[in-house]
Amino acid sequence: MCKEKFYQLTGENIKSELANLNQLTFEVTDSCNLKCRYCGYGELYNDYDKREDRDLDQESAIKLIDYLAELWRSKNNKSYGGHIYISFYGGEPLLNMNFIKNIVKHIESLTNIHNKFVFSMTTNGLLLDKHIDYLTEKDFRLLISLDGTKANNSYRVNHSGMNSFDKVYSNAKKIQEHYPDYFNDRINFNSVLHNKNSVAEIHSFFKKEFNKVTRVGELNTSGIPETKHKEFDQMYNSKRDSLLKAQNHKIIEKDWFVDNPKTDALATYLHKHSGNVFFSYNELLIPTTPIKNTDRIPTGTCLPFNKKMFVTVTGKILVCERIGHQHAVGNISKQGIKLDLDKIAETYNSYFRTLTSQCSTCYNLDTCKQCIFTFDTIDSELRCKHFTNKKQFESNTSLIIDYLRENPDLYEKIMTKVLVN
Amino acid sequence: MKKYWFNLNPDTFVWKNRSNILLYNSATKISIEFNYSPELHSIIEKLSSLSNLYCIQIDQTELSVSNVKEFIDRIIKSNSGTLSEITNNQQRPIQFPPLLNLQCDRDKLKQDTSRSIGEKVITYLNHVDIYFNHQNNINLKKHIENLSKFLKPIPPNQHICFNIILNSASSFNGINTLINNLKDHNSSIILQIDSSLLKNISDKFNIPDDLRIKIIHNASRNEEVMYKALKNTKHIESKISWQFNIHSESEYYNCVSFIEKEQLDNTEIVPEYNGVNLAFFEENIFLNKEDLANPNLDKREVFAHQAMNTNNFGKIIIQSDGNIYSNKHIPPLGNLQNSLKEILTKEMYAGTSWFKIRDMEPCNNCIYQWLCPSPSDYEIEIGKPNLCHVRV
Repeated sequence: MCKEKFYQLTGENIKSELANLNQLTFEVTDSCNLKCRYCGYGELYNDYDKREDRDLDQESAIKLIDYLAELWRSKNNKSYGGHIYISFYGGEPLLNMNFIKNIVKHIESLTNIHNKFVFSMTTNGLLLDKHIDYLTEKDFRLLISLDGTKANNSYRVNHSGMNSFDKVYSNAKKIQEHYPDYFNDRINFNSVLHNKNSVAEIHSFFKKEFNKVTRVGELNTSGIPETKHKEFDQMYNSKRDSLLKAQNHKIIEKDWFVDNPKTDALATYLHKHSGNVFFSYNELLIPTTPIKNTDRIPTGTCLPFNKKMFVTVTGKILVCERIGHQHAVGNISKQGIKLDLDKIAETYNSYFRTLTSQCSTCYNLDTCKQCIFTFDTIDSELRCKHFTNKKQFESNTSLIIDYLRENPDLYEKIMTKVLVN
Repeated sequence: MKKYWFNLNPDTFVWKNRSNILLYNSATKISIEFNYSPELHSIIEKLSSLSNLYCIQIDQTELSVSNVKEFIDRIIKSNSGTLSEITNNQQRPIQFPPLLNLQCDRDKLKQDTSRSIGEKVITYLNHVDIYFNHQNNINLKKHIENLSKFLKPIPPNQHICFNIILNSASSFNGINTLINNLKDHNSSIILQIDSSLLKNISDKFNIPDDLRIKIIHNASRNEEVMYKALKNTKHIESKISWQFNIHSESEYYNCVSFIEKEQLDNTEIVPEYNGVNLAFFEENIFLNKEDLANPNLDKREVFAHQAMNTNNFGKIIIQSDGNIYSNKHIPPLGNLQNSLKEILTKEMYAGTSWFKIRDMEPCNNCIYQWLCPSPSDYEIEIGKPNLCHVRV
């Protein structure tokens, strides 16, 4: 393999991503009416700004929307009717409804933008009974966090240590009863996997109670201080292992489809190596040369703002809510927006330089999903734990092909149904 | 009894109809055809089933049937498949059959409520025909203003071919303004002029260095027009290309003779249907079985035929009245008062030009369905869905 240079990001690349932004997420407040034991902003982690019951400044948020609106109106915006998700996150976002209502109102007042705005929210569900009329009126997509049965949900507790299950379950049932279509189309659940629940229990609970297949996430493995490793390890439960232990794992795998890590790995492999996947009509129309390192960035890191922009309660601008707050690339305030696109590009390029030699010889480069911001430190000593040599790649490929051999129906399903963008 | 794995190569397409089977290897570009016999029925059905992943089991008894043996031998000989004896520890050697997964497929985007068919729609635009047929300068000036405003959303780095078609001598006025506006884009600009309008070309406007001029000559006209056009463009011959529209064999030979005599370099001879020359088309343009069986297409190109019209995709036509079309034979998508992205999204939804593929009768029963070129304007003009001599 050739150790050639990778693509060097520029401010113009980032401007183009902002003009075609898919999701703008506001951390509406850092207040929360729950104190989940595994919370990413709790005692188990140390890579976030201190929680001080603050609300995001509305005036600054509106300034950011107006800044982005200019880009959405510009030549750099390539879409007509493309969706832009305006998302609300917390803390618990429903604790700051004034902010949400004013932002929605401001978004609705924007003119000369050819995109469609869609509102969404991640909520713990405790206050849904109070606000559901407004949320349905604005057609919000809701992701409700619930870890399964009451026993499964025992890490999701209020500040007095009481399990939040009864109230959230009751609210979800009320919505299902009063707004059945909205519940079916717009509501999803998110469950965190840990040592108090299992893939089988979660799957069974949501199927039986709500006829839904929930999203199951693992605990975030980055940002844990040394002193908390033992506690984290006790709590951690691997999705893959838990699935294997499930008696009905075949049914769950089918329901999960690409949420099943093995199927996801197969889909990723097919997308890159089958020779049958094309991203756009232009790729079909015009012959393209095989992708070279100089055409792409190393690692599996997204281009900045390719997926979303996340604004913390303190006004920090991040490229994703899943990464540590120390990686902020700009900020918003009453004075305006501080977002130096050339500087962001240079920061990314300097981070990527630390991995250039590893990535250029890694056999997994085409299918890498490793985000550079999930490494504990980014410096010259950085070693990628997912580096794959030829032998490992062949072994991984062999496992993937075995899985397809055992599940041959997945080929047609993946090729006809899976959209990765 | 010996058993074998029979595999098809992942570059090999399999198509069948009631009477024939066609295998096309898009890597070697070789096609092989078989009659659909009862003995091959089960093998073809199994090979076509995607869950078999192009790998089926065959035993010695099946191989002893002459039709089956010939089928397999020819496939192996053309490097389109392999036969290997099954040993105890051998795993099933699966392949990825050629099945297109187009991530921005319009039907998928229509169904996906979280996505939009208009996503990145501007990137699909690659060719704009702009017609001019103005008799007075006020209309022309306004039209050029509207055009420039309409085309403004094109990103600066996107390559577009602008084809400016002049149908009246008075339209020369003001063309420079439009050309200057279009030069802001990463574009190639071609000025297309009828040979009869070439009398005073250099007097009418300044020809920018990077502008190319295409002379359209209707070969049914008097030859004198052709020679006059040549004379009038002698001083700018390096910028000139010629398109001869022919309607008969004699016109074809006249044009060839002119090209050779005048040693013209950039020339194109284009058959034109005039309502009475169907026989000329049937004789010279219609495809026969041999043409279709040897299309020299790779896998991407076959997929493209399945997903889009490769002649029309990305093209729009702006008429001098401001109406905008994806094809001159179908109603307009809108006019210059609409936004460019809106017009393109309308065509993504309607698909009457960009997505007109060979999925209608009789082509959908033909084994060459996806090897055949995408439908063109000729089919519409002649009023026939297929321009070939193949009987389905």
